Formats: sequence, C-alpha cells, structure tokens
Amino acid sequence: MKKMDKLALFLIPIGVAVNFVGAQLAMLLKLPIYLDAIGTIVVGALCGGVPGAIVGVISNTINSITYPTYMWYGIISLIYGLLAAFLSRKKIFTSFGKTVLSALIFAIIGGVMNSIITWILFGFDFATDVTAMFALPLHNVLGLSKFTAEMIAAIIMDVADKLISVIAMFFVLRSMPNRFLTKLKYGEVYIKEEE
Amino acid sequence: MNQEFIDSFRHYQEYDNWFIGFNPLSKLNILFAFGLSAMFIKEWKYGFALCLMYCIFAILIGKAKPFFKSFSVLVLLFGVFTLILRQFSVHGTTVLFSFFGLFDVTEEALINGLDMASSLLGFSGAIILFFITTQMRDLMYSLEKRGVSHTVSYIILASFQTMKDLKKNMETIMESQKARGIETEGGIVIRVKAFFPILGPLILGAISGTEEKSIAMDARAFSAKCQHTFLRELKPVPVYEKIIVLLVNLFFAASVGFKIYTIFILK
Repeated sequence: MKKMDKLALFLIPIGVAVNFVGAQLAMLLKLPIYLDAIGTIVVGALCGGVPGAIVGVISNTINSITYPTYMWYGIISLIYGLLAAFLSRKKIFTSFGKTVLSALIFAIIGGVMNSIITWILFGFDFATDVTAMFALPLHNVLGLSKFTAEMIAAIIMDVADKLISVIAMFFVLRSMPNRFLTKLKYGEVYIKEEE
Repeated sequence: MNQEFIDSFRHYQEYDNWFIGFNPLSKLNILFAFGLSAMFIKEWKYGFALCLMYCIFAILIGKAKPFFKSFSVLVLLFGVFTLILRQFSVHGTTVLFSFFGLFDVTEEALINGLDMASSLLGFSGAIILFFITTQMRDLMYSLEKRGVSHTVSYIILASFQTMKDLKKNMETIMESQKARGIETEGGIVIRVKAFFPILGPLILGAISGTEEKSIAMDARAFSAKCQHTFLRELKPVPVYEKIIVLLVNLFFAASVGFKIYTIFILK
C-alpha cells in the first residue's frame, strides 16, 4: 500500500463508485445483468493488480450493506482486479477482438468461483437468485448434478455481463488522453501514437 | 448554535443511544459473532429466534424503520424465495400437502429451506444492524486508532462520497443524452446501446478530475508523515463493553464447539 502510486490511490474511490453507478444504470435501463465490475476492471487494467483488487473488495464490502451475503463473494472481485491487470500487461485490451474474447475468461473464472462460494454458502444447493432459474431446469430436466447446473448457469449469466463490461472498458481506455495515461502503471500500453 | 457546534468537538462524541455509542469495533465483533453463529448452527429455531431478537433490538434502539426497510427485502429474497426453491431442489418423501395434485410440499424440503433461510437471515440481520448503527467515519476512526493507515480511511470515505457524486452526474448525463435523442427505453438492444454513451463520459469525467484532486490533497498535507490528529474523537472503550464483547465471543466459540460436537460426535 505504501508504494502505491498516488494517482492510483485516488482512482480507487472512482473505481468503487463506477462499479456502484454501473449497477445502478443497469437497473435504471432494466438490463437483466449486474454490470458491477466495470470500475474494478478499468482500475486493474490501468493501475495494476493491487489497486484493481482493492476496488473489487471494497465494492463488495459496500454492497454487503444492503445484501450482506455479497461479502463472501469479494474474492471474485479481487481476482477480477488481478486478472484485468494481467491481461492489460499482456496487451489484450489493445485489440477489440481480444477484449471481447477476454470476457469469456472473466465469465468462466467468475462463474466457477461463484458457484463454489454459492455451493458452500447455500448449504450445498442452489443459490436463491436469478441463476437458480437457469440452474433448476438444467438439474431437473437435463439431469445434471446440482453443482454442475449451478456452475453452468453462473457462467452463462456472467458471459453477457462481462462482455458489456469489457466493451465499456475498451472504449474508456481508448478515449483516455495520452497526457493522463503516461502517469499510470499500464497507461503506456494504451498511448495512441498519432498525437 | 455555532458555539454549541464548536464545543461538540471539545469532548468525546456523544450519542443519545447506548448501543449506538458502543465502539464501532465492539459492535462489529458482537454482531459478526451472532451472525456467524447463525451460519454455523444452521438450525431454523435458533436462526429465527436470532432474527426476532434483531427486530426487537432495532425497535428498542429506535432504528426500526431503516432496519425493517433493508431486512424485509432480504426476508423476501432469502426467506420466501429459498423456501419455494428448496421445494424444487430437495426431493423429500414426507408429503405435507399437495397443490391441486400437481405439486407436493414435502417436510424434508421445508426443513431444509427453513434452516437455510434462517442461517442467511441470521447473518444478514446482524450485518444490517451493524451498518445502521455505525457511522462509517467512526468505524474508520477506530480502525486508524488500531494502526490502520489513514489512506485506507480516505479510500473508504471518499468511495462513499464519490458514489453520491457520480450518481448525480449519471442522472445529468442520462438526461443530456436523452435530450440528444438517445433512446433509453425499448428493446433490450436499444437499452444496452444506451448504456455506453452514459457510462463512458461519466467514467472519463470522473477520472480526469483525479489529477486535480491529487494536487489538492497534497496541498492539504495528505502525504505528511507525521502523527495525525482527529477532529472528532470517540470515548475509550469502557470495561463493561469489553466484558460484553468477551461474553459474546465465548458464546460464539461455544456455538462452534456445539456444531462440531453434533457433526463428529453425535453421528
């Protein structure tokens, strides 16, 4: 924490607020997805894994004021922050095609982790949220085990969510001025040459 | 009025309610211990008794309205929804009653649902109670007193403020984009398309202000390495409060022990 870039430090509250506002906007637009990890991914991609992970954990803690069980899912947000930084370092987010594909990585990791936490938290059974609507038919009709059904449902739910999140992040990174990018850890990856 | 305001900082912060006046970390410890005990015991009689206790407690400390506002949503989500869902996911044999001969409500599924719902509500109620009785700045003050860096306090407190600011900005941008002709209602594709022109300017605007904030904070000695002082101070933790925390922790340890006993020894 001591060595963290000061600009990164000031971007953390913004990342947390973007996560919150993204989710609010998704609700306002009546979108059937959460979109509550955009801030985590943007800060992770620009400032590195630690600031990204901090944004994720704080966002989950704040969300737990209204939905206390969110607290246990904080580890997923932490991983999103680290993953965003890793992919950013590998220059994945400089190409639109690769960025879209990265949504799959986020969704698979998120879905698997989500179902494991849900499995433990909800007494080795389905969660009581929207994923259950997908998981129940997979279990009852297709005969998949409860865990597999929950995991597949969580991944499917996450793909759309993360797809929109990474596309939003891609355009934000593309639109940032070079003057600002130069001051951030992974900013130079996104510096545009024509200027 | 002004003198009264100034004088309020000359002594420890006072709260007219005994529980709200507890040290934030004591409250966190007490309520977390109760909440986790519900998850460990996972027995509907205990879980619902705990929920009832939270409700009575919230009324007694004058926080009934905010508590029931948050808790009722969770009762619907974790209570009612869990009970319904478990009827589909848990296949019991003892049929309690049947819906038009089409669907059987079984005892096993009901008990499973009640146990699950009560443990989730027992945990959630404690956390809600903590947040409605604790100001975030008091929590951060207590943490700083325990050696947590002031930058952590800044991050948490600034996050809450930025959330309010960005929400306001989002509404302004949304109205502006609507005025420009961007559709925010209609099919799913139209609504998804509206997401980007609202969120994009919002994030870029917020990020562009960080540099100024960084300079402004440094001008106010944010990075000064000296010992920090506090405008508002909380009273030191009294002995009776420490005893309550200790008793609750002993109760929690006993509940964990009881659970281990029922799992490994009774079976």
